[in-house]
Amino acid sequence: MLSPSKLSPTSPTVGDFDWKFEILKQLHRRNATESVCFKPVFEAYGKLFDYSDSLKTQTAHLNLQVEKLKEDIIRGGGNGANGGSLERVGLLEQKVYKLQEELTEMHRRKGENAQQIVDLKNVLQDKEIALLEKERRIQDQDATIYGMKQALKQSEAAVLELERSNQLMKDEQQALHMAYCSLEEKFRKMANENQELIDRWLKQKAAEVERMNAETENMSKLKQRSLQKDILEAAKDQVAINIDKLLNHDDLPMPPICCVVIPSTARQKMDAHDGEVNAVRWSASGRYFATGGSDRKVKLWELSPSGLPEVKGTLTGSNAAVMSVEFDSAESLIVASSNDFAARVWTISDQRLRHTLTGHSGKILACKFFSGSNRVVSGSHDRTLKLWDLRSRACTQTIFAGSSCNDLVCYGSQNIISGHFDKKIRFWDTRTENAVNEILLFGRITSLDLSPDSLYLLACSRDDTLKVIDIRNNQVTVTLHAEGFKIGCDWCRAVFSPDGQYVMAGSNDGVLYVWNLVTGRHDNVEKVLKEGHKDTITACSWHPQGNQLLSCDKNKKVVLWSDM
Amino acid sequence: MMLRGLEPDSEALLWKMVSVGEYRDAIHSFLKLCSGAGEEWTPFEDDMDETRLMIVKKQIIVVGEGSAVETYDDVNSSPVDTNIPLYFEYHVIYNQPFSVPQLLFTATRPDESLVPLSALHEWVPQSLISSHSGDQGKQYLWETLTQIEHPILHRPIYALHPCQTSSFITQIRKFSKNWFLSWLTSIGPAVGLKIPLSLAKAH
Amino acid sequence: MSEDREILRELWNGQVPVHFVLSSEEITTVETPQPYFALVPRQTYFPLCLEKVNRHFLKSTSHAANAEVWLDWEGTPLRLHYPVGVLFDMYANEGILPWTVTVHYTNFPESELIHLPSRDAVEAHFMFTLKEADSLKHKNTLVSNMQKKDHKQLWTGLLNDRYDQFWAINRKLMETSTENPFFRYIPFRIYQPDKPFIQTLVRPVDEEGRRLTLEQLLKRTLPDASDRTVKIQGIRVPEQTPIQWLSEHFSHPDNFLHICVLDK
Repeated sequence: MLSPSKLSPTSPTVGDFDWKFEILKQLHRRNATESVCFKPVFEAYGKLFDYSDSLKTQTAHLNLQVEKLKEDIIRGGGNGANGGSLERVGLLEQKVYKLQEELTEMHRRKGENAQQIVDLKNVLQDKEIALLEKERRIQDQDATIYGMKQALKQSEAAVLELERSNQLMKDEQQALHMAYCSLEEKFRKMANENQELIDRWLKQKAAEVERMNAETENMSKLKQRSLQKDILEAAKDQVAINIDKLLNHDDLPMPPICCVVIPSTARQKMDAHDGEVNAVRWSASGRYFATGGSDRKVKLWELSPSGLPEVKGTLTGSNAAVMSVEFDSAESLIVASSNDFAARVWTISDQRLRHTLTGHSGKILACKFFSGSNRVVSGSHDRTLKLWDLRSRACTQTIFAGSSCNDLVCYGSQNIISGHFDKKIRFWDTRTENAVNEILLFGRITSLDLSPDSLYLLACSRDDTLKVIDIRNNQVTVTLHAEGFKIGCDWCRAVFSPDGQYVMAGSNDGVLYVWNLVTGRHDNVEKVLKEGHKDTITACSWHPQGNQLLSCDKNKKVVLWSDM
Repeated sequence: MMLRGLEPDSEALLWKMVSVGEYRDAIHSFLKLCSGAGEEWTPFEDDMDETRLMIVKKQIIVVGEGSAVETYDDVNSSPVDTNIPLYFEYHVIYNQPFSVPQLLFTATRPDESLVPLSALHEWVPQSLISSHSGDQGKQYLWETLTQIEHPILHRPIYALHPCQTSSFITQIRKFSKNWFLSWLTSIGPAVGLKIPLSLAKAH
Repeated sequence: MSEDREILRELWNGQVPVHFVLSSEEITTVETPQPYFALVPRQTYFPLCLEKVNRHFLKSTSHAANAEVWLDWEGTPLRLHYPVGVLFDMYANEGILPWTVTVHYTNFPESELIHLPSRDAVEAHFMFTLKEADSLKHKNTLVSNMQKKDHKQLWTGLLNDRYDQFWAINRKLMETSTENPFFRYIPFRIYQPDKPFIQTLVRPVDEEGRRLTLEQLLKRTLPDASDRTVKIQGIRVPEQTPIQWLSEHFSHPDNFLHICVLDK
């Protein structure tokens, strides 16, 4: 047997057992599959094979013998030894027969075994086929997976594409946004600068105005003082005044002398118009007065030598109710505004219509001469004020007030104050577009009037109060009301007295109220004039000399109040 | 990667075995001799293995009734008779396990069928097997001239067994100037390979 | 050691189931002959074990009893000078068992197969291969120094399936000593489908004196092959097995390691 030296490097080491064991294991397995399982079959087969072979030879041999014997028998016909040999032959034949049977049996069994082996082979083949089938199916699956992976790759690529373009868009948008932000910044800065500049400019203007006001105030103060001085001096001399003279009808307008005496008697009641009488006003001298009514007419009145008013003329041209009338300071023109959206100017001397100022898109509730006889300002329910130049007959400026204007006054050459439906009084400077100031009251403003010294503003509002406002500081100095005094309509007019001490307004029950400002009390009603009207008093006017009053109502009546 | 042949280990063995280098040198000098003498041996090389250097010669041998072997280089020049021409192809290779050169050859008939080994055995001169007789001689023949798988071309080819070669060469080396030529000219004729004497003279 | 002995025994006793079928071209009788089944030893050569097969099939052919037989598997002629086990591992390769082989008596493919017409031819071939292995393993060849009777004993031991008889002599060829624990070169041949066999010089130790394993041998001779099944004697030898041990225990009787490398 093999016996290598123990000291050689081929001596087994610990690791050798692994592969030796593995080799042995595999050898056993090999023998099991290759030889052990076939051994019995092959051995049996070999044995059968040999056996059948030997049988074949034996049979061949025996057949030969049989043939020979048969021949012998045929040849040796009636031999005595026949019987014995026949017997023998018979026996032999039997033997042969038996052996033949056995041989067939062996053949059959051999055939069966061969068949078995063939069957086993077939089974194995079938298994092989099944295996191939499975493999084919796996291949198909792999192909599908591959296809899907491709599709997935494509979708992923598309997604990437979209993300990229999306990113592009986002970047663009960002860039644009930044540009927009910077532009916005710029714009804001510019707007701020602009605002700043405007503010500065306004401030300067205001400063100017202040200065001018201060100047004028000083001037007027000086004037007043000198006037007072003169009056005092003059008062030293007693001079007889002829009142009649005062009442002569000179052509020249006389300067108004303010000696306010509130009359108590309704001297004359006239039916001035058909329908409502909306406006009444004395002229600057007191020689004339004008009335406007819902009958579309403006009537010019004159006082007779006996002191009774007579119609001097009727001014026509309006197509709707006349809401306000005013004389110019030279007493040559009258301006009247109407609900037909137009204001008209007539010359008094020939009572001819000179100008028609159209442009408003709503009723004109107030119009006044402004800074001379060549300019007119109108306030309308179309929420605008318009300035008109009579020489060019055009609207030179439109001020957007924002609310319907019920009344307006003007002073100076640039200042307008308007009272509105939205309870606000707005102060305008014609040089600017926006209101210089505004005051909010508690009711719709129905009328405005300036005090003779242009320092105070009288505002009448629908909350049945009259407020006196100091224009310089826009503070309400006095609020006037009275028990039973109720404003009757949106254009009820209230007025100062020529000396600024009293205030007059008409109530909706036909009562005319006069308040005294000087006493400083709220409820300082000076006089209540009841017998004049039965209907809502719409407007009133105080004679420039202070001793006569006019009031008109919604029922055609105009009342002249005088104690003379 | 060039595979090296067996290196001669010790001086004692040097004369017993032929190294690859010696074989190659012998082949190259033999080829030079042949080109001078008009002998046609074609060399074949394997770039990957220096031991696989082989030279090939083709010969036509006409075998007559009396088994006298006459060689012709061109069939057209043979005399017109009933003798059958046989096509021989001789290869000399280097047998690496035995580290000796070895002579291989094929013999085909005109119809391309192989000449059987048994026929070849009959042509081998008795001189080679004279030391053996009867069955032993027959077996000896089998051990010396057999059909093997060509070590390089891997197809059936006849071969002279190399284990006799090594002892033979050791003897030759002792006295021959060109051991290769001596070896080839000694064993070649046994299988029909004739080397012209001019080669020996040229050397 | 006992494993080694057991391994040698198992290898010697290895048999393969063969299903011999006569080629249809050979049949001259009316009746198709039955196939012949046999368990053929791996270590032998086909020409030595076809006696019964021939006897059986020649009844159905018109050839003489000494006609030269050759075999094919699925059209490939089988090289009868290879051991049976090698042919089985190359061609049967885990297919359907028994291994079906077709028997021919005519049209011997001379361009492909070596003639082994007689027992003497097989013996000569066997001894030739043995001497080649011996020359590779040892500096001083042992076989040529053995007596004639020892050669005979090797041959008859193989021929008659006598393990003890064979190994009594063969062990001398497998011995190593303390000074020389390794063979000079390992005799081996590597077979691959449709390729000529590879035989090169490989030492059983590397430059540092470590035992070379089967894996390393394969790497040196087939550097490009991967994903393959390696079979020796019909089993997948673990690739860390040293080739010196393999040569001593896993060689065929001709002292060669026949290694079959097949695609997975």
